[in-house]
Amino acid sequence: MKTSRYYKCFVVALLFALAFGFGCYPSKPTPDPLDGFHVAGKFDPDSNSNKAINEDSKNYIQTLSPKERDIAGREFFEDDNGRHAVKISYTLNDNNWEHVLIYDKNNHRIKAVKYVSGHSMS
Amino acid sequence: MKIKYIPILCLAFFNTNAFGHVQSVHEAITVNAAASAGEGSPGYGAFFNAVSSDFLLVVATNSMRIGSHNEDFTDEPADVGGKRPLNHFYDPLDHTFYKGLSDSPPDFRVVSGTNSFLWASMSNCVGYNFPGIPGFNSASATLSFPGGIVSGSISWPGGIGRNVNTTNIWSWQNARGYEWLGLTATNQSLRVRNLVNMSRAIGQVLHLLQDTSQPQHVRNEQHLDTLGKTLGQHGIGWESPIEDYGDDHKSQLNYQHGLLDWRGSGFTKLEDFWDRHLYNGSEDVLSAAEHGGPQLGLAEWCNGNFCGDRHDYAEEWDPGTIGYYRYPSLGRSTDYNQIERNLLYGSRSSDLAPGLTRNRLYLDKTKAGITFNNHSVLTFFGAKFAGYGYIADGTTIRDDNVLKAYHDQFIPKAVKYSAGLLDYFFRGTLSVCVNGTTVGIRNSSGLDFSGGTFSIFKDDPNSGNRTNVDQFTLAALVPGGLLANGQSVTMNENDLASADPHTKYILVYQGTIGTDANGNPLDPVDANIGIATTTFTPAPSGNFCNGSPVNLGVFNWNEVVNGYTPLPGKNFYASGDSLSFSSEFAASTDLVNPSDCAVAVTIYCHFTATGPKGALGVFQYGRADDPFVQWGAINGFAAWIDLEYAYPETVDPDPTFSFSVAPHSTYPLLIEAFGIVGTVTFSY
Repeated sequence: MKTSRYYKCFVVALLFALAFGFGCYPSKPTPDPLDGFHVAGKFDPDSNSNKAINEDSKNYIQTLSPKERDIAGREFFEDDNGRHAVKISYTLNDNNWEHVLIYDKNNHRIKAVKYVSGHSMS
Repeated sequence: MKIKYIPILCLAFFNTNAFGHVQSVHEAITVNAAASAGEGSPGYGAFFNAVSSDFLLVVATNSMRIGSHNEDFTDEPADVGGKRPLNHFYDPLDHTFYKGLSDSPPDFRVVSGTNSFLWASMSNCVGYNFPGIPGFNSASATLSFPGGIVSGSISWPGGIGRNVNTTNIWSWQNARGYEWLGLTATNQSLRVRNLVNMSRAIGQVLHLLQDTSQPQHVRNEQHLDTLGKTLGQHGIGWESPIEDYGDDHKSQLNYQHGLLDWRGSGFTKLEDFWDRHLYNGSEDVLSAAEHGGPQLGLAEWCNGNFCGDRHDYAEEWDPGTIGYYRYPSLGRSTDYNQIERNLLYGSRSSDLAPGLTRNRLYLDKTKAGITFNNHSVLTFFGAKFAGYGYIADGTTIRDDNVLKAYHDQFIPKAVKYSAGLLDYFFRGTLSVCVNGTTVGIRNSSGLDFSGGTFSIFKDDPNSGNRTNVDQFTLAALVPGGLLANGQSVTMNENDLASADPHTKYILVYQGTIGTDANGNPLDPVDANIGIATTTFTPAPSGNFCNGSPVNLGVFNWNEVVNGYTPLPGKNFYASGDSLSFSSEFAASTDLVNPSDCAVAVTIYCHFTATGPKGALGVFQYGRADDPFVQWGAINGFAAWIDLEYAYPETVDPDPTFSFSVAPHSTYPLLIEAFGIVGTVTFSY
């Protein structure tokens, strides 16, 4: 009887381990979608020239679930060809989610990729 | 803890731990600490002014935010820090187990991580090699449970929770390395990348300091989250009610701005922010800290004033056991004795669930340190057996009123200490005046410079490339290699002779900032790597005279004749708008300036600009008669603008200052006040 109860507890634990630690999530693609980009040191999201990117990335966040949108943060990137990218990141259920939005030179979004980059303990 | 739970907890340990405040709370603390530093730290403002041609303050703040998020990474593929949270504990009273986490389920003493101060402060800190939970050090052992039905379906690379061969490349000393490269690298994008890394590393250090405001992290109390909750809130009980409360209320927590006056508090080194080694379990120290006495490190303050979830009051554990701490104490810290005599004394209502309100018996913290209501609540058995002596598990912090009271105390403290740490990181400040090829350098840090070098760089305005034009050791400039606070030295820089007057030069000091009476570094963590920087142009600005500053007068706000007058009909100032502010000091306080001496004028100019939440307003400001215009940014908050000018040798005896603000923002900013506040000191 003791073994049976113990056994059930372990199965429950295993199921939660599977649910929270080994769920089926997209992993980070190769190559990194931000290859060639670097953090834009002087990117002012509120300037007129960056208005399109600012609003598009904000609108993108609004499409996430309420819990995700509550904790999502943005980071702005640029490459040497004048293109921009936005990385939206947050941690949910210990999974580190990243959404990468790539823009062309006219600041039109041309690509969106989301994946789990890793895990956190929090 | 019954033995049957061990493997379950082991799974949880590996998989669903919660360590420290939740990440979003860390991020909020960091952002508010950065805002606090922006409001009150001259060094912080001076640094980001100096790098503003490469790096905006708003980007730095965002990178710090990200750093404070990333410190909770665990086995992130792109990170070599392993299970970082195992290094997020600091027990100031532990002298045996290295002060870090040494608590594994079910409250076994097993050293599991490096203490958070070491992890934060050592360059490329090598983490403690934790082989995993004893008894589960291999895959076969892990799977050898009775029943064994999952045999072969999962495997751990070694023991559960195993964390070996880890390195922290985001420490304080690493931040200094990134800072140096961020100031001196030739290529602009490389400088930006390093300034981003510097900010991220600072954010990760801030996270480690912030964790010492979470009682479980300073009372060696390992905690587990999801699994603990799932199996019953009071069943296993290893989830963190503190972190769960923070997660549920993160937008409502009290992130009150504050900036620790670490100088006035007697802090002299990074470790002091964690632990000043003043608190050894004595009530006197806890009480003195709240009544004008020596201020404690955050870990000491938190350890002595708050209960963990399991490691709670002294009376509930036997001395020498893993959960025993002398404070807080039921008898010596709370009003338990009064409640024991009269249960109704502590009766207050508690919302146990939506629509379910019941009275519970609360203990208030009435002595031995900070005092506040709702320090804990009696459990059913605690109330039942009150008056019959202390019983184990007679109290709990698992109550929203208690958890709110805790957060009301330690979140503002975390903001304040974090802002203080930012001020400490950027404590190195200096000012420059130029007369021909003579460069005068004044140490304005409030601390001595010792050893190290001054390096001069200049920027190519077209390529953005930065080149090193000269370098001097401090020992070559000053006998003994010590430049005391307030003193100045001169050096000859021939490159200035042929330079365009608008050429931007960058002066960087790298060495020890802060020495004791014997000339030894006050902070071993920051010895030889402290940095102070400023920019200048070849435009003549006079000389520093005599080395020591002489106070020429102090001017107060009420001596300003002309205050800010809003433009007619204008409340908000949008792109292209400008406004000016002029001040003239009363004739009775005219300056008398010796000829050819540069007067260092420090003006603390305060204006309040607000915009919609998240709005970023960019503006420029500068003295009207000064060609040098600085840029600033504001992110929905009030801002301090600190201007420091080296005045020309001829000074208007009754000077007038004018400022202009021109927001370049899609969001109009509401300018509510603009003017000089506090005191203005002229010295030469």
